[in-house]
Amino acid sequence: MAKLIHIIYKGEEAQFGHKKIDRSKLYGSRKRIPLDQLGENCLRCALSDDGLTIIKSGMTSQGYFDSDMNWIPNKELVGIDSNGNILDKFPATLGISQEASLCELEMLLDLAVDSIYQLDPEEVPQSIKTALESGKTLNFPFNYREDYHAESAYLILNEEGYFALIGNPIKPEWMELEQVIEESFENEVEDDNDDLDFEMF
Amino acid sequence: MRKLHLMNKENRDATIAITSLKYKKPFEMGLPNKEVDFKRYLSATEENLHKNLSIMHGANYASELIESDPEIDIESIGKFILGSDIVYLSNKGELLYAPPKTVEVIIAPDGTEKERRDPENIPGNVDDELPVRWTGKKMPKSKVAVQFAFKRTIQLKHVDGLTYDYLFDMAKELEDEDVMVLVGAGPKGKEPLIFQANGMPYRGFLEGRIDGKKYKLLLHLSNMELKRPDLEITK
Repeated sequence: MAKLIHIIYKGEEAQFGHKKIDRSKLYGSRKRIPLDQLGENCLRCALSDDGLTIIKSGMTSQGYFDSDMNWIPNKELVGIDSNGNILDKFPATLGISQEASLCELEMLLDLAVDSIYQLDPEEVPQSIKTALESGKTLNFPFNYREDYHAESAYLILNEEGYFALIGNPIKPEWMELEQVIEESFENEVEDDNDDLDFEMF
Repeated sequence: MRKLHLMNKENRDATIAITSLKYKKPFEMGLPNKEVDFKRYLSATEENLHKNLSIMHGANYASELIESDPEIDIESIGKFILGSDIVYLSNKGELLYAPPKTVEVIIAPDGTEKERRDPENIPGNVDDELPVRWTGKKMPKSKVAVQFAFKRTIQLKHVDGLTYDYLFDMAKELEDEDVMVLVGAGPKGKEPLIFQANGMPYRGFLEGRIDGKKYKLLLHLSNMELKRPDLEITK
């Protein structure tokens, strides 16, 4: 059994089982399949730019290389911030009590959600229920496995039950009259062609 | 600058600027004081793929490979892949010289195939002749925030003095009422927002914040309600 999510708020601890969910589990999905002239499934591959190799799924790997083209084993790599400082690793948070703080819903709305977990409460103290029912949310650090960055998790409660939204904060800017909107040549078109089906619509 | 054609509750429309708000990862993987590059390379030839190894040596080919210790193809393995083009192989493994026909497969939440149909090309609809409309459907912020998962947020920005007033007024109204308003595309504003051709359709909720004469007008995009899939299946 996977380790539980443990949250401490006002000295009391809640514990939740968790299961990752996405929209395909709610609404289903759709995908586009290429067919050959006989109506049979095609295989999508890549052709290397020298035109010599047809690359099928499973034929490539990726990794880090130094300037002499030596492969760097993953265990030698470290996290480095924009100032060149080596970062400490954040331990995994599952199974370990995490201090939660009460926060306004605006913080939740400023979250770029990466993953969503439905939570099965094993134990939830009244202080946490009261906090969530008051229209606020509890924020705590979340790291599925040890790495160089812990994400932000928000615990919420609605009519369907408890959920944890996991992601990273975005920072909208305040707009003033004098502010000039600069032309941006960055391609803002995102790859959002993911498969979908949408009962919600 | 990406643009959005927007209509307010008085049916006044304007074209304003939009920016997608993204999180910037605060670190990179690397070695101290040493430059490293992330590269993709060829790690197997076709003969080394699971399917072919199983045919040649049987399902438990691992021990056979350990014992015979065959050489790798040193001409190919390790070659860096600097760029590539997409190609399709027919079911018989022949290269296609014309684009394949595409079929759209609908898959139910339990993973079973529900339907096959011809795919339809759906254009984007946010910088269209028809503006994105303020539907008037307002919901308390506290309700929206716990009912929908927001995958993307787009910030709306003025492009001149008039659109500053236009957006500031919207942000103020939403903040004063502590609500978010549903916006939609199409002639009646009932359609979901699609930002690029064949892109993901989203429900859009406008949220406003003000501080003196400053404002933030945010379009939160959701493609998923916060529901338990197990309860949905039971229903």
